[in-house]
Amino acid sequence: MTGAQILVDALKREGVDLIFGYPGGSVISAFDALDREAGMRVILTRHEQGAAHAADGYARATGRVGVCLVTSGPGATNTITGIAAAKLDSIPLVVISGQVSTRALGSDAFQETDVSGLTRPICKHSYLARRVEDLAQIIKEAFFIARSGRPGPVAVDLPVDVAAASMADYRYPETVDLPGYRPKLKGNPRQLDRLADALRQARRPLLYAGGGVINSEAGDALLAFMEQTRIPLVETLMGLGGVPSDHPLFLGMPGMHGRVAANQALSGCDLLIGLGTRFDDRVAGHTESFAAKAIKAHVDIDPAEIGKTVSVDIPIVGDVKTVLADLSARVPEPRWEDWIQTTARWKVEHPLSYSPSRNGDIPPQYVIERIQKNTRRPALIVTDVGQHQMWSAHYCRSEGPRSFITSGGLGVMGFGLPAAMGAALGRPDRMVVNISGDGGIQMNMQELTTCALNRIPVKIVVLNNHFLGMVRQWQDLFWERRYANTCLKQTPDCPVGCAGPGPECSNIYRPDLVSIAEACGVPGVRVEDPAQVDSVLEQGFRSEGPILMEFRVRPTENVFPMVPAGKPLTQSLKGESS
Amino acid sequence: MTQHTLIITALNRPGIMARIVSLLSSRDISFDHIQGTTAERPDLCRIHLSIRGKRDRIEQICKQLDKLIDTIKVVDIEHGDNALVREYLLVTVTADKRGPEVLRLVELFGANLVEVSARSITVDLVGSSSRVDHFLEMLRPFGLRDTARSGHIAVANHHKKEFNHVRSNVLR
Repeated sequence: MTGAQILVDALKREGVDLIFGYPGGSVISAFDALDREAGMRVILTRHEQGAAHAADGYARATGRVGVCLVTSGPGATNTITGIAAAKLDSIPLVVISGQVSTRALGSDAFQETDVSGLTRPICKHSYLARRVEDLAQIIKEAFFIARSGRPGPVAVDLPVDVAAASMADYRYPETVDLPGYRPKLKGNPRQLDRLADALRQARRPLLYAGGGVINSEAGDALLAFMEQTRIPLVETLMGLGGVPSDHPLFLGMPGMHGRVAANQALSGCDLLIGLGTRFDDRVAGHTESFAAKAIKAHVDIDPAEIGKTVSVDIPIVGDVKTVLADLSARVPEPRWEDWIQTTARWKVEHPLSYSPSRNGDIPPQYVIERIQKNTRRPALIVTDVGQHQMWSAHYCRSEGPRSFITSGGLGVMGFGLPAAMGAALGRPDRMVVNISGDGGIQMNMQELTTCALNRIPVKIVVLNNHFLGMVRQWQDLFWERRYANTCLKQTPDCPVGCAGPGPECSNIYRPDLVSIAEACGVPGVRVEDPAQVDSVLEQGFRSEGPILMEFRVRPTENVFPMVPAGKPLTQSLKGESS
Repeated sequence: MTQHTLIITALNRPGIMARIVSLLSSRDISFDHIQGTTAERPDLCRIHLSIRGKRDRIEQICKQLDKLIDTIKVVDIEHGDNALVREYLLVTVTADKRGPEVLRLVELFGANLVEVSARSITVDLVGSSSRVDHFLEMLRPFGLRDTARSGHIAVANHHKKEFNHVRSNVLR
C-alpha cells in the first residue's frame, strides 16, 4: 500500500467519514485515494481557513474529531487561525498538510513552509511523517492525542514522497505507547474530601462551569449535581448549554459582558468550585478581586491550568464528569437557602433588557430573541465574534450541550459561517443557525458557495450595523467616540475624526450581502422593518437549504452590562438599555 | 527569586529541543542555560534547564513542560543545599612569558591542562558556578582567548532534604 492509501485506511479506522479540504500539488495522491474510497465524503471548501473552521464546527457539534486535509505551503499556513482557535477552546482536530519531498525539506522548495515550526505553539502536538513505515502509528497517535485528556488540535505534515512510497506489510496499530502522556481522569480522593469538608463549612457556594463540562459530556452530571447540592451556577461562554438556561439556580454567564447576578455571585461567594474552566481573563481579569472572599476549588483535566492565573486552595486534577460523580457521594445537605434567595433576587433585580424599536429601527437583540421563537425545532446556534456573539450568549436559550458554538478563546471573526457548515454536516438532525455580524460574515463569505453547491442547510442571520460593533463600542466608551476605521461604510469622502452616523451618511452598504449570497447560489433576503423580522425568520427556517437573512439593525447599540477591561467584576457599566 | 535547574527527561524524538524552547518563548519565560544530552536509554534524552523565578512561577513552568506529549518527567531542583550543581569550563589563556603563573593557578584550582602551545594554554575545570567565575576572574589578566561554559547541570542530593517536586508520568 502507498502512504496515501495508508492515510485513508487509517482515517477510516478512526471512524472518519467526513473531511474538509483543499487539494494542491503535494496532496493529490491523498485526495485521489479518498476519492476512490466509498463512504468517505470530502467537502471542498473555498479557502483552507474555511476547512479548518468547518472541521472545528463539526467537532464541537458532534464531539468527534474534525479532520481537514490541505496542501503544503499556503494551504497549511491558511489553516493556522483555525488551529489556534481549536487550541484555545480545546477542540479535537487532526489537520493533515502535504509537504514537499523529504529530499527537498529545508531547501526553500516551491510551496515549502516549516509547518511543524509554525504550528508548534498552537497545537497540542505535531508530527512530520518522515517514513511511510511510521505513518500509521502517527495517525493513530494523532487521533488519540486529539480526542483524549484535554482535547486539542494535532498537526500532521506528510511529505509528498512519503505519501507515494509503498510498504508491504501494513497493519493499523491497535495501541499507542506514549509514556509522557497519561491523562488522569479520577480526582485525588484526599482533595475530593477536602472539597466536601469545605462545602460543610460554606454558606455561599458557587459552581463556575466552563467548556470542560461540554468536552467531557458532563452536562447531565452537572445538572444532577447542581440539583442535588442546590448550589447556584454560572457558566462561561464556552460552558453555555451545560444546563437549561431557565433553571432557577442558573445565574447566567459571568465576566466582561456577564449578567450582573453572575458577577455579583462570583464576587460574593465564599466557596468557588471551578469545573473545566481556565479562569480566563474575560472573567477573572482582575485577579486580586476575583472571588476574593472565597476558598477556591478547581477541577480540571489539565494540571497546568490549576493555579495558572488565580491561586487555588483545593486543586483537583481529573475529568469533570468523573469528579462530579465521585463528589456527589460526598457532599453534605445544602444549608445555603439564604444565598439561593439572594442570588435569585439579583437575577430579578438585574434582568437583561434593551430599548424596543424606535422610529422603526430593529434592535439587534430583538432579532436574536426571535430566532428560537421561529425555528420550530431545537436550534444549534453558531456565532461569529463581536457584539452579536455576546447578545447571542445572553438571549439564546440553552438547547443542551453542543448547541451553542462560538470561538471563545481566540475570538475569530469569520469563524461563524464555516463552523456552521461543519456543524450542519455533523448534525443533520438539527437546524443550524449561524448568527454573524456584517464584519465577520465578510471574512469567510467565500464559503457561501460551499454551502450552495453541497446543499448544506445553514440558516445565516447577519446583523448588519455597518460597524465593527464591539470595537466601536470600546471607542464609544473609552476612546472619546473617535470611530477610527470601525465604520464599514467609510470612504475617503468621510469627515476626519467622524463621531458616528449622521444624516450625511450614505445609505449604500458595500458589498450588497443579498446579491453576494445570490451570486454564490444562496437565496438572500434583506429586512429593514421590525415588523418583518418574524415572517422572514419563519420562512427562512422553513425553506430547504441554506439562506442568508440580512437584518439592518440599530447601528450604535452597545452590549451591556459591561465590566471595563482590568476592573473588578462589581464595577459593571449598566448602559442606557440594560 | 531562587535559582533552579529543571531536569527534563523526554522521548528522544525529532524536535524535542525545539518544542521545549518554543514553549518557553511562547510563554515569555527566559532562562539562563539549556543543555541536552542522551540519557541512559537511547530512546530518551535529558535536558537541563537553568532558570530563576518565584516558586509558583517555576511550578507553572514545570507543569507546562510536563504537558508536552514527549516529556516524561520534570524534576525541579532548587539550588541551595539540596542539589549537586556543577558547571564545566573550557578556557584558552594567552600565556607568553607568564605561562608558569597560569600553571600555578591551574594547580591551585584543581583544573586540568588540556593543551599547551607556544602562545596559549587550554585548561578545563569542573565546579560550582561561583568557583568557575572565580577561576575566570583570576585568569582574565593574562588574556582570555576563548571560553566555553556548559551552564548548570545538576542531580538531586538524595542524602539531604527532599527536592521541590517531581512531575512524572510512569515510565514503563
